[in-house]
Amino acid sequence: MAQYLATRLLAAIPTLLALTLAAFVLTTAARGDPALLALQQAGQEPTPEALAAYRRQLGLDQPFAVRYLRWLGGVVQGDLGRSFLSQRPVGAMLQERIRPTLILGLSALALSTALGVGMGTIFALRYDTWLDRAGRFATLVLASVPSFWLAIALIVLFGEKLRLLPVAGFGLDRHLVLPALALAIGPAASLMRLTRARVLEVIALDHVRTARAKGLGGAAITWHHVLRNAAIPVVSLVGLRFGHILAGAIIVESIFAWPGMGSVVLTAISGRDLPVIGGYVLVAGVLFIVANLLVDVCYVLLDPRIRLGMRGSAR
Amino acid sequence: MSRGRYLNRRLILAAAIPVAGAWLGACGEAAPPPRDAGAAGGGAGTSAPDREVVIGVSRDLANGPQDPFFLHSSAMVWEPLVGLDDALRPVPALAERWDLSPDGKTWTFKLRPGVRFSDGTPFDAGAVVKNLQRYLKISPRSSPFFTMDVRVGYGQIAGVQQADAQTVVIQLEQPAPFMVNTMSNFFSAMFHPGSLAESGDFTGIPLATGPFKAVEWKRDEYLLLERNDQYWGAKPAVRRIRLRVIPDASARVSALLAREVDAVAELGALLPAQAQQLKGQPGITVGADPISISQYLAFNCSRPPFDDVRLRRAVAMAIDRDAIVRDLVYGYATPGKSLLSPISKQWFSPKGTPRYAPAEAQKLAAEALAGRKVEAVLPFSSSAGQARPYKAMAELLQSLLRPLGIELRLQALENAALTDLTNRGEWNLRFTQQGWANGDPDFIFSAMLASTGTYNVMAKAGFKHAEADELIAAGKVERDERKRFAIYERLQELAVQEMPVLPLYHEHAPYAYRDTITGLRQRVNYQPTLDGIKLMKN
Repeated sequence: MAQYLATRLLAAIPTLLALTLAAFVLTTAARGDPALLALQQAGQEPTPEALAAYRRQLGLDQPFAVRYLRWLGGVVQGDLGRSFLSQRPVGAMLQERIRPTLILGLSALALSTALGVGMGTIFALRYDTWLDRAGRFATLVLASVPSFWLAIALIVLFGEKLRLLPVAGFGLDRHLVLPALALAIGPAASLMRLTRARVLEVIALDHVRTARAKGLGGAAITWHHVLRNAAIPVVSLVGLRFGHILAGAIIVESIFAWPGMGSVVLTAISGRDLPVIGGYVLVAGVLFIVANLLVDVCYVLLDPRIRLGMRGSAR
Repeated sequence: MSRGRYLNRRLILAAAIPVAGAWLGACGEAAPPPRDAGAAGGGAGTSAPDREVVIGVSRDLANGPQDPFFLHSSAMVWEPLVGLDDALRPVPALAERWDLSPDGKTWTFKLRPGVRFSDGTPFDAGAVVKNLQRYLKISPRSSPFFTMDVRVGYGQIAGVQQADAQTVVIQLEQPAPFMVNTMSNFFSAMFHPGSLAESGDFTGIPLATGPFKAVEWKRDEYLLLERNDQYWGAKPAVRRIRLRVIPDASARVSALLAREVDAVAELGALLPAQAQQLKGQPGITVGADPISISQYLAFNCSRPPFDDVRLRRAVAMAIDRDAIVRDLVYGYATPGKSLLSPISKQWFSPKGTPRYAPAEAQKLAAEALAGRKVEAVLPFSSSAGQARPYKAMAELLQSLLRPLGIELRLQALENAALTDLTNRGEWNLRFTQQGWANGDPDFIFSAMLASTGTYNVMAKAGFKHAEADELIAAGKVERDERKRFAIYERLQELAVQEMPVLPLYHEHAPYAYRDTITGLRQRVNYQPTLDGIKLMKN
């Protein structure tokens, strides 16, 4: 499996390259002069001399290819460059922000998986009762509500009205609840629907009937015979949802004043801060790729018939 | 499945759980909750009079050692040599008085005696020279607070000397009779020399002379201020103030309603619509004080249809600025009075106030267009849309100008794209805001009316008027205050006649606080009066 993982990680490098190139091309194609935007940050108009000096300082007088390759050269040596806007090293900027984003993202992922799989299974086991019907309707609504809207709704309900939970700020305690919920509910709803559908499929299969005939208890059947067999597509969806959660976190973080990478990248986009945008795309890309590698590993753990890396097992 | 492989899988899972747990656990240790984090001075939170005051702000008021100032002036940690009062007149801060040589090229500053940095070190001329040398070295340097460009603040500096411990002399290449205005606030911010690194960056959170010292900072989370007991002036009543960053406007209001913060203040703290909603809520006071930012409508005089001055005048007369203020900013502004904001009692003249005369506007437009219909492009920012009602104003203009025979094409653009379009001159009308940070009228007229000003060069507005250029040049060197006023009064009048830019409104900045505190106001540079806050008993 180690060899498989190494191969997959190496194969991810061209993907990451393409990602950063796309980020650079898109940001450059979007209109706006980064030097001017940096100098105008405080609402002052720069003198033409100051602007020219700043463009030189940022290397914006160089052609696109030179700038991109120079940035890439730095990345290979572990240097993500300096922010156009704040002059700070991008590596340090992202490093201090990645932990809050990971904590929020993984919490939301765990919460959505627990909610999604748990409720999905319950709905399936209570097939066509009022609970199942209400659940199906609720998931349809919740899956289509954007996370930023949920964020505001949660703030008004739990912060303003009930005063149960803090509405803004960072902390591994009660502060984590609302932002994680806001991010988790959407993915949880789609996981519920998929889990429900899969469980209903598997429940009807012969081996489940056999297990029941053997006199096994309901919980044992659900756990060992139904959920395990229903899990593979659900796990793939969990991996894909991680990307959605990372994207949703950009806005949700700024609503809850959560000091993650989101607010950094928002400022960077509006200021055309290329080094920061490139650095973020790289880090988010790596996170997404790693998450999906973990999903692959989970396949093996769940289903012994699956082998990773066909060459290794074809002996 | 063989038993060995089954066990293997169980082991991997079993190992993964504690590893993940340890990782999250370690994170927990590394980040103590902010409320427990205060290291300096005890007593916070133990007794009510010493409780920490928490203020929700829209942006981080610190920006780190690479920033030319590290801290925004709103944190009240550093002080400038020269400040501005609420009518934008220069007032002594760390410099007690100043003097200009007859040739206009040598400024002498006498420092306020008895001032100490927060560590007890005396503030003297040597410190001023070190600070100015640092600015010369790093200029121009960008910042989200204020771009440091020494040329803009001081002109061409020939030399900075310490005449004695309390006297600093600044020599200039060219006369700069109004340098006390242009160097006010940020441009003359003073820090402890020990806080300045060789490189021009700061060595850490800087020490300075203001009413507060910054004791702790977590980027984009909070800035913790503590009363500076060495302060030379009236000392603040509260011991500690935490400025909590809550970037989202509605989350800020929620934090106030949920009693997580005592106040929301500083630039953009409260949108006008939110201030309106908060009014009358029990236990909450909403305030709004005039600030030095104005909103304008600029005309592109270099391309049709607004190369015709009659049409510019017609548009200006068709716009009901009172209605904009009443309906679109909920009264949190003063309708446009002149290119110069009326907060400057020294320079504002009512001769610069445009008239609202819709019938006359229609007549003038009919004369200029002779029955033709014309199209015009009005791009506006969709990014800042919620802070300022650009979209609503654009739609209002569209309906007001249609009867004149002008069909407005509205273009909602993200900020960077808008700047780009503006600088390529591909617009007919545009909204523009202008802060008047230094209170010197030349700052406004040189930007808006001079043929070489940023409005005309950068934004390619193409306004060129010989008399305006002459008056602006004369205003830069006229040292007699009465004559200088006459120059700027004429320029304000000229702006109405030629109408290159229409003042729409002069902003007020709303803020709000709970009944837990009192004494909060906002100064003209939207600086909350942190030093005036008092805790209430409840």
